[in-house]
Amino acid sequence: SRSPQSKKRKEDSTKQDFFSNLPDDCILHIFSFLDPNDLDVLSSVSQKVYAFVNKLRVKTPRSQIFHSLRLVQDSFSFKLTMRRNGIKLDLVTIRTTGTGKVMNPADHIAEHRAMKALVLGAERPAIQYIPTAIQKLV
Amino acid sequence: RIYPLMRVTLTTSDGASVTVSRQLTKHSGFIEKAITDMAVDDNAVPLSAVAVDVDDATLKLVIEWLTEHRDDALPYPEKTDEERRADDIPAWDQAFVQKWDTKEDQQQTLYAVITAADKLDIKGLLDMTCKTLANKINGKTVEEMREILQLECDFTEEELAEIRKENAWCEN
Repeated sequence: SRSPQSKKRKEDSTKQDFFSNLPDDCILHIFSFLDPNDLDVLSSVSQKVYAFVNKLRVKTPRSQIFHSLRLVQDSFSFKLTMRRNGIKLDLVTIRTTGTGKVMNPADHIAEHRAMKALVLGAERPAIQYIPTAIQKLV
Repeated sequence: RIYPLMRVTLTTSDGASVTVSRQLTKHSGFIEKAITDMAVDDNAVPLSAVAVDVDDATLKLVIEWLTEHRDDALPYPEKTDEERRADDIPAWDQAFVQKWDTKEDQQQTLYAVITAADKLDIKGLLDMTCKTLANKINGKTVEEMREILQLECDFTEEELAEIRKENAWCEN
C-alpha cells in the first residue's frame, strides 16, 4: 500500500499464493538459513509462517543480542549458547524449575553466579567487555 | 559406478522430453533411484525414459545448473546446523539466478526451481535456491517480509502484541 505499483502487485498475487504452495520441507529449509532475530520478525508475518517458525524453534527457539554478544536458547538440549559475531563461545546449561519447565533464560542468567567468571575468563580473550545488559544481571 | 557417456531421457509434466548424460543425473537422488529401480544393466543403453513431475521450462534451468555443477562432489556434503550460512552462494550460481529471478517474475521461477530441486532431490540446487530466498528476507522488517513473500497479515492486533511479548523474553 506504499506505492501504486506495490498495491497492484499484491492484487495480482492473490490469484495464487506461490509461497504457501511450496512443500513444507522447503519452507522449513528456507527459514533454517535465517538467524534467530529474523525468525522473531518472521513470526509476525502470518499465522502459517508463525507455525513454521515455531517448528524451527525446537532447535533455536529464542535469542537475544547484547551488543555483539548473542544468547541463543536451545530448548531441545536445555543449553544456552553464547555467540559473538556468529562464533560460538560457550554453553551454559539451563536449569529446569521444579515442574521440569525450562527456566526463562533471563532469570537463569540472573542466578548464574558463574556467568561473571565466564564472561571475564582469561581463557576467553574473545570477549573484550561485559555487555551492559549482562552487567545488570551478574 | 557411473558410466559418464550413458544417457537418460527425462519426460516432463508437459510432455516434452530431454536426453541428458548420467554425469548430470547422478546428482539427482530421484532420477538415480528411478534408474536403480528399473534394475537395468548399467551398460545397457538406451535406458527407458524417467518421468519427472517438472515442467519443460523449469527442467531446462535445472539442467543448466546441473551442467555447471556436473563435477561437484558426491555425496553432497551436508552441513550441520552450526555450519549453515546463506552468504556462500558461488558467483556462477548468483549470476544464473539473476538471469531469471527478476522483479517482474515475483519469485515464481525461483519457487518453481525450489520445488523441482525438492522433487528431483538435487541437494546442492535446493540449498542454493533456498539460500537465495532466505537472503531476500534476511534483516528485513515484517512489512518487507510480507511484501517479498506476498503474504497478508491474518493476525489480530492482540495476537501481534502477544507474539511481541513472546519474542521479548530476555529484555529487561
